[in-house]
Amino acid sequence: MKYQNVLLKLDGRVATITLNRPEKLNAINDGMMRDLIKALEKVRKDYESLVVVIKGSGSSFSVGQDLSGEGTDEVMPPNPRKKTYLFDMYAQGFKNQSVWQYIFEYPKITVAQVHGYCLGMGLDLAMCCRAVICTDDSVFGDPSVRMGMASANPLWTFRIGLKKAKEMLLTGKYIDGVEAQKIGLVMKAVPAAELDNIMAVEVDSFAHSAGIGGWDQQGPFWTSWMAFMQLAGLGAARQMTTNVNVFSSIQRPHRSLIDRGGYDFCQVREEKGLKAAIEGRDAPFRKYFPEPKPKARK
Amino acid sequence: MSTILYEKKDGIGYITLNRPEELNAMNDEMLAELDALLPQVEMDLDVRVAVFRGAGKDFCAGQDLTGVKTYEVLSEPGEHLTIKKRMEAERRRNHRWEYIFNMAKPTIAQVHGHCLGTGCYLAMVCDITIAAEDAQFGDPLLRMGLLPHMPLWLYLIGLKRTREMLFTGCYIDGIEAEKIGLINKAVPRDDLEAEVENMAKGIALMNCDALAPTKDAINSVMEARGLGACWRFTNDMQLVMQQRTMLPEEYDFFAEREKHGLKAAIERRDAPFKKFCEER
Repeated sequence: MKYQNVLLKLDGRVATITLNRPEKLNAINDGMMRDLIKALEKVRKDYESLVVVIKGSGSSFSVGQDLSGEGTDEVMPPNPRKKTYLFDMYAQGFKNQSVWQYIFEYPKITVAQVHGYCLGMGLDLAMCCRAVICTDDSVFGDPSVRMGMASANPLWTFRIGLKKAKEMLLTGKYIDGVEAQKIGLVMKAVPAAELDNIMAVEVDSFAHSAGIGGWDQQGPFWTSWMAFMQLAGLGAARQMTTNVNVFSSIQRPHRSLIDRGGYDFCQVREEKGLKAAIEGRDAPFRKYFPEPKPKARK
Repeated sequence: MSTILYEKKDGIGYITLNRPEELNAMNDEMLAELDALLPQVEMDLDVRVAVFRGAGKDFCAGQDLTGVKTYEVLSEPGEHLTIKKRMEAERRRNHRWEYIFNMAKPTIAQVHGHCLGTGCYLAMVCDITIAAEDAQFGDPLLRMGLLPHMPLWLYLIGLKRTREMLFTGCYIDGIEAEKIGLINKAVPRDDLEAEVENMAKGIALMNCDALAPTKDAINSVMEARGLGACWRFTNDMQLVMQQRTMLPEEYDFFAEREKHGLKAAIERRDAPFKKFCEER
């Protein structure tokens, strides 16, 4: 099968899916999301592979949702100015959520290998993986709130705790890999030069443990683990965050108080283009929350 | 208002607990003033973020234990109240914490000095807590035979740590509190104000229609994780605890207070534990 937006490599016990829109910093659009799911489905049926590595080609893991507004009807909420029915907003919201649920509950060991930027939806993807290993200069964050949207990802408080989740999501701030490891967002942050080696060792060890007792052992283990998460409220949490996410994305600038100092992302994008809109979104916050940057590499 | 000071500046609402001589201990008056003030702060569109802080040397030492005008914070053993009355009072106490936790506006606790008992609860229900490295956190309620009734302990610092803190009543400092996830950040005492102001100003850049749903999305996850039921459950346990008969050898805080005064009663409450806790 051919994929336009991801690369799939099956290699014995380890499958590698590479997000492949490097010129767009692997921004996630409808096509990439579909390809990612297709590739994961293929790996799921491949009895050889025990571990799936998800990584990004080019300079970053993924900067998140494609904000260009083109080819993003499925990953982004419909534009509320186009008089979308509430029904459609929810349909989109829950479709997205089912994708995250699919990845979170994926029956093989998923490992995100992160370098460069890992933001918004890119971070949602990484958080759905069972382990995240990153370079120490990777940059993590979810700036949704700066565009007026509440994050639809229910995993935040489970992963890093209530206080830190609020700090990250109410400020939209970015942190580097070292900080991400400290607060428990990732399993390990390592120097960039060692990333490939350390990944190889870790993935080999995952593949080894996945094989202990036969692959079938993973089934009951993972099922009970998922049951714990359901009992801890994850299922209901998904519904509720999706609900609030829809609420937040349906507010219209001219109808709500969003222009009381709020940043109208769509308006600026229309007038000045995507890059300026993103810059305008983040610039005012730099004074208060220093913004780490990934080191440039050849 | 006398026990609470309120000041608006640059889109930030500063709510200052103001009973510095009493270590900002919470009494009926302070809670009544908080109850009156908070809905106004919540509705005020010019206030993007609310900061809770304490005047003087402390954030808040907890419930006022004098027994004078403390009906809302402390149930006295001598009171012969019906179960309905006690339940009403408990529900009101709980409702207050839940209300602050769910205010449609980000809240920051700026903590220095003592942050104990209900003072610590206040810091916990705020969205973000930034503290001085030498601030002291703890919940010594059990030493008086009262039940610590804040379910957020478990969610913030986990089962093992919660047991350790509540069973011993020991205090921890800001650095330790950051390590275990009770607070966001511990900073040197002199930097505290600037650090909080920076965080508040950064958040104040955001519009309230983005902040409110974001906070709500996170809190809704906590509801799904069972927080709502936990408020009620710990609340009811607290009620049960109030009804019990004290053991003969138990430390009777209230009798001690009657005989030797408040200060001595607190000292005697804590003295036997000094040996076991590394209090800083």
